[in-house]
Amino acid sequence: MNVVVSCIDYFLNWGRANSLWPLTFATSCCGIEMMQTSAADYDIARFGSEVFRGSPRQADLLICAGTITHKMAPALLKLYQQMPEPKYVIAMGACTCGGGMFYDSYSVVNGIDKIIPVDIYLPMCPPKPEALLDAIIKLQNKIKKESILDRRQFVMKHCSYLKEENELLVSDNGLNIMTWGVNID
Amino acid sequence: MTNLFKTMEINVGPQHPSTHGVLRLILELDGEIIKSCKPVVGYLHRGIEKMAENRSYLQYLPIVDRIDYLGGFFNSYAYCDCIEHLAEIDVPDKAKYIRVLCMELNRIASHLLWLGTFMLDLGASSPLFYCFRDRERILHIFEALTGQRMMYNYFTFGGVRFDIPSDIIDKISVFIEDMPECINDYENIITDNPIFVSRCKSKGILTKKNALQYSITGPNLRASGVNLDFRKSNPYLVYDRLNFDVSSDISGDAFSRYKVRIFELHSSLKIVEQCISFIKNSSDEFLNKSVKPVMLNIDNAEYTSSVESPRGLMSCTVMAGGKNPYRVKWRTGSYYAVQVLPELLINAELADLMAIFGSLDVILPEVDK
Amino acid sequence: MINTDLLKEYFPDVLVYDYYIFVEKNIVDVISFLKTKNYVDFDVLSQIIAADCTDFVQLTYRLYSTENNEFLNVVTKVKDEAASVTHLYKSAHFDECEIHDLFGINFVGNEKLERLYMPEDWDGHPLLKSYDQTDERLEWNNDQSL
Repeated sequence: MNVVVSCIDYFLNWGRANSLWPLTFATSCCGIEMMQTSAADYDIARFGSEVFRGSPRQADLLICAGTITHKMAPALLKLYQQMPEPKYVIAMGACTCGGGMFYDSYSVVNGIDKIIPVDIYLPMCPPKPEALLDAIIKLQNKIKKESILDRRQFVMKHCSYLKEENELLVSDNGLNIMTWGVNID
Repeated sequence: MTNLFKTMEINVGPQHPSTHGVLRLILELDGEIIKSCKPVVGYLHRGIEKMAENRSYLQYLPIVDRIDYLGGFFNSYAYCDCIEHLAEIDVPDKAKYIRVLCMELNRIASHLLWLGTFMLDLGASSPLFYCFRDRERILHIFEALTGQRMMYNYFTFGGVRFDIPSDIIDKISVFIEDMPECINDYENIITDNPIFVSRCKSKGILTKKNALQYSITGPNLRASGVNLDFRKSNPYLVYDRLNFDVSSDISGDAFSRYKVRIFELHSSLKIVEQCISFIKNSSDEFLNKSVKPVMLNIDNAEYTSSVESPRGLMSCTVMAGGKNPYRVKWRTGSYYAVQVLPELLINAELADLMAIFGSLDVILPEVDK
Repeated sequence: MINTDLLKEYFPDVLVYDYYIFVEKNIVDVISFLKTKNYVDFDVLSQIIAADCTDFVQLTYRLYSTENNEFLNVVTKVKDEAASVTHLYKSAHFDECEIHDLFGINFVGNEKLERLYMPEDWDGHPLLKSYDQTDERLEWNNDQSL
């Protein structure tokens, strides 16, 4: 049994690690460096991640580039829920890791790990493109050590509070989240 | 909604590849025609104005770079100008020229990023790579000079933090020699491209009256026929000693906004050239060493600075209250450009949304602050 | 410069110090006068600056004249309620929403007034000096051990 699982793991991880499709989720300064990483000079395509997807349903890597505010947080959670498993999160920039220089602001979420589980933390304000590439390589190494049996446990362990939220995906009550914060006439 | 079965409401953003951040638009469509538009902002409201009240003048300085991350030098300057005015600090001439040099290079970098992403929104992906290639050269210069690629924290009260070494001046001279050819390349690719022209000509027309009513400034206003540039009209730093032109256009559509910005690339290069020739021959100090920024204590006073940023008038109001600011208020160009968007989008087609929005060059952190 | 004599004739109780005009009441009339009847038209409302002075909120309307390239500050004090200038300058809408959001001032005459930055159901007005960060959202899942 273990032999079979590890063979499946090897091929799945090889595929997953080398074709991480990021979601274009850029809120602020780090987003520009993310664009720079995908443009000339750095060329994220060397690591198989050049396919930036506009829809979360087609992406499996969420590079959270930029500050998350309380108004934006439900949207981030919603996007994360819409992504299919297996999904990975890179917290890019000091703001997403722990508030950064906006740690005492009334409207900033101090670290996105309060909302969604994070695989790789990438501090700096903003990180250089080389640092983002390094984070992607580290994530690839992490994926290559994964087993299909662990993944489910990881999700359950790190998002115990998400158990109820997962049910939202089925019933689609999640639509309420998007209108949160604004009045629509 | 009044006519439930005829119109459709769609939601663009806050996560959308083309909104350059986290703008959210609630659009009402009749077929392909936009009937109404309501911009919703605040998804990146970081409370930068409130944070000033808990910090000293110097502690607040690194934060202001984040307001408009594509033009960090402009924010720094707007804030430093206020404090220098309030605390009566003199700035040496060389520091003024270095500031102008940095700001104009930053303007080029900002416009290049705008050009790349604007073309990407219209579906042309190759200009993005050209623009980012040239922008990267400016960022390398900034990194060598200040130690950071985007958030420089280089200006300080009374001047700049480090002197500009001669090898960086050589780098900049090489850059401004190469750049006009690159800009010509962009123009060859873009300006006469029939797809680009037909998507931008007479789209999103901003009339002169509307532009003034909505307090639009910068290239967007100049494209609508008002030749207002704060570098010329209310000169700050050493702009009155420099020789440069300001371009304006009368049609006010997306294409003329593009043309005005391309012209600005040329005029910024011209300014950089003049600054370099001054800095090379100057033996002035780069920093007023008599200033003690940590100990700064300013009595109750108020000052508002006005800076022509790549996206219009940027002004910083500092109300001093002893050891830390009592209130800091930022006025930015994009804030008002978002507001005019419903006016431009009414009766436009949905496909033109990104052409019109992209041409306004809106940066969301500047709106949300 | 503004035409001080003419301004004094219409509004006797305003105070004028070079680029500052202090107005106690009728702020809309003064701004409307400056926009149209003054011999230099202040055709742009550059911004509205609000500052919390503990027992009142000070509003500064920063006008700009494109003809003469000069700024003029019209300063007034308000408490809870102020008159809207959106019918004179459309750009005032966002400014008024922002001040309504961050200072809790109600602008009479602006029908679309709503919170600009913070969520609609947020408690308190953050830029007031007395603001106390109590909203439950500030504690995002803090009880969960991650």
